Amino acid sequence: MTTTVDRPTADPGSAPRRRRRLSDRAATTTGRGRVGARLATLVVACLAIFAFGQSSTPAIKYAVILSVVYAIAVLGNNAVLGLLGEMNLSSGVSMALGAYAFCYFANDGMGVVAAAVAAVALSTALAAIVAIPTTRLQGIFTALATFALAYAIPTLAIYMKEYTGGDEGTPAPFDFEIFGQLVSGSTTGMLVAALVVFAVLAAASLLMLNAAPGRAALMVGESELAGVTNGFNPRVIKVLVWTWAGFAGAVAGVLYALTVGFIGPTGFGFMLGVWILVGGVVAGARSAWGALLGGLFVGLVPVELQSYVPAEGTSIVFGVILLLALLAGGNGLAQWIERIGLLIKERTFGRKKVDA
Amino acid sequence: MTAALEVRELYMTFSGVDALSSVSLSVPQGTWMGLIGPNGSGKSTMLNVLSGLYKPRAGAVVVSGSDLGRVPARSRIKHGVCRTFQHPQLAASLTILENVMVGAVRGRGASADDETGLQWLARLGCAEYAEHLPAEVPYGVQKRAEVARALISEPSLLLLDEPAAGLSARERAELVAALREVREVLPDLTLCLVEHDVGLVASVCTELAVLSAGKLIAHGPTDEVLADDAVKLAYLGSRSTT
Ligand SMILES: Nc1ncnc2c1ncn2[C@@H]1O[C@H](COP(=O)(O)OP(=O)(O)O)[C@@H](O)[C@H]1O
Ligand SMILES: [Mg+2]
Repeated sequence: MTTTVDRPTADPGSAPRRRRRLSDRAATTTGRGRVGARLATLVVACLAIFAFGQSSTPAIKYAVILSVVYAIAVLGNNAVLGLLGEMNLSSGVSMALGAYAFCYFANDGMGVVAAAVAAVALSTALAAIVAIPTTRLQGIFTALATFALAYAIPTLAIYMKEYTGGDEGTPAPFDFEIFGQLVSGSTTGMLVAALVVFAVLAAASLLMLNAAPGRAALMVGESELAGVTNGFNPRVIKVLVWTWAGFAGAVAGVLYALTVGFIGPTGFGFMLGVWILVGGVVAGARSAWGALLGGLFVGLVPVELQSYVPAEGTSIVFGVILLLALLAGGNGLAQWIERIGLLIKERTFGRKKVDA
Repeated sequence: MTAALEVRELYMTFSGVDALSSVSLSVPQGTWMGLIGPNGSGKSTMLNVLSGLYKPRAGAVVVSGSDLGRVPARSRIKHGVCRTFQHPQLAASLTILENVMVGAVRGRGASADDETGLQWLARLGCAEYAEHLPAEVPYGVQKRAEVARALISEPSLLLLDEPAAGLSARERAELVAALREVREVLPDLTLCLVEHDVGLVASVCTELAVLSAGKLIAHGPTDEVLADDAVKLAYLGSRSTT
């Protein structure tokens, strides 16, 4: 319908065109907007991790690679946490699915790439099926259901000996090469492969957050009633978000198998899903580059803790970290770093004004 | 001519208590009807049934000739039914304009662009807040943003649940002016306005329907209904009739 009544404030001619632009402050609190700057930060963060990995000892480089792999799972889990506000403790399950399926297919004679694609496809489909009942739940019940799933995985892996190798696990020595680079263990090829996959998925989630799919998910996640009355199907949107998390987890699982060269039930204990969730909370569930921080948290903190704190103490340290993260509020460490950046920017601009 | 909204023998029960009981009414297209009644009389329940969020125990809701009985809440926007909420339901991480544009995605105004959204915000007097987050703007702006989001879906039947509640006197005056402007721009729009402020309702609505304890006790031209003794007793008794 055509409308003719106008007020000067709405005159598009006199108003700036970029109406979707968020203020710096709003961008920082929501993790949205400023897509260019965020993409650039993402690239810089990936390059920094690459440089760090290359200049480290093989043992540390290996830990960094695993951290990047975890970062991919954190990224997927962050969609559930950051868009829907739900706690998913089953990211370790998605990783296990991806890893086991990948090893099974590859050991069965499929090429590495074909096995990876098949494993991710299978795991993603399973994630979608599991998401259908899971999205009927809310809050603590979602957390409990996903926790139960995570708890069952090691036992299930042992039970399904025929496919998983049971207690002994499954070797994954594939000597996979891209451009003549061995993608395995602590090789540079492995580091680059993990970083490239992470960067692509992080960029995709960043772009989605700022486009129609992200807006739809936020509408449903932050105000389901309005989502419904405005024509959105919350069930479908939630299942899609959970499926995306399952997909990212499966991709991480495949890369995990390539990195470690072996998978067994102990690699996917229920605490893995907890750490991935907490990694997202600590680093910031709305930040694409922040997922890298989350991955480093998952990859380094539990391992490092063991050398400083007795085994019984780890859960206390873990609880304190989680508490501090929750108290810091909002969007985690990534947001705090952005805030400091914003502060520096404001200071700099202020000084310029004085100079002028 | 088919009525824009026809409600037949509607019953809604919450744990044995009738929140709506045998409600029937017919609203011609283009009519602005105020739905009034004391607190807890079933006004919000009525809107929840009309918008499909509640499934009535019995009765029919017919909009522009189509029975919406089997149409889920999320599909009613396609049938031209859109609403606002008593407490604003905006996505906290979307700007006011982005929230408004949500109404265009699945609504009938699917081709509406940002400029259309801005125009609606401007008519409702809050274009300057377009780029702000809901938490950063006054309550009154949040409520009007919901109205803009509903309007951009190009509804034939607009349901407003207490749009003036929590607004300052100035914001109320702005809202009334804005609603009058909406009526000028969209003469075919049928409005069901739930509101506590009888003065406000009377100033924009030509028809009034009165609920009391889930029953429709009066429905007709505004001045007649306000003069009705039963209405005065049930609703206005203790208050001055502004
Ligand atoms: N979801 C619900 N569950 C139980 N009772 C409800 C629910 N919604 C409304 N009611 C009851 O129905 C009656 C009408 O409420 P409502 O429609 O909100 O009144 P109004 O909007 O006119 O103030 C009240 O007695 C209220 O307690
Ligand atoms: Mg109410």
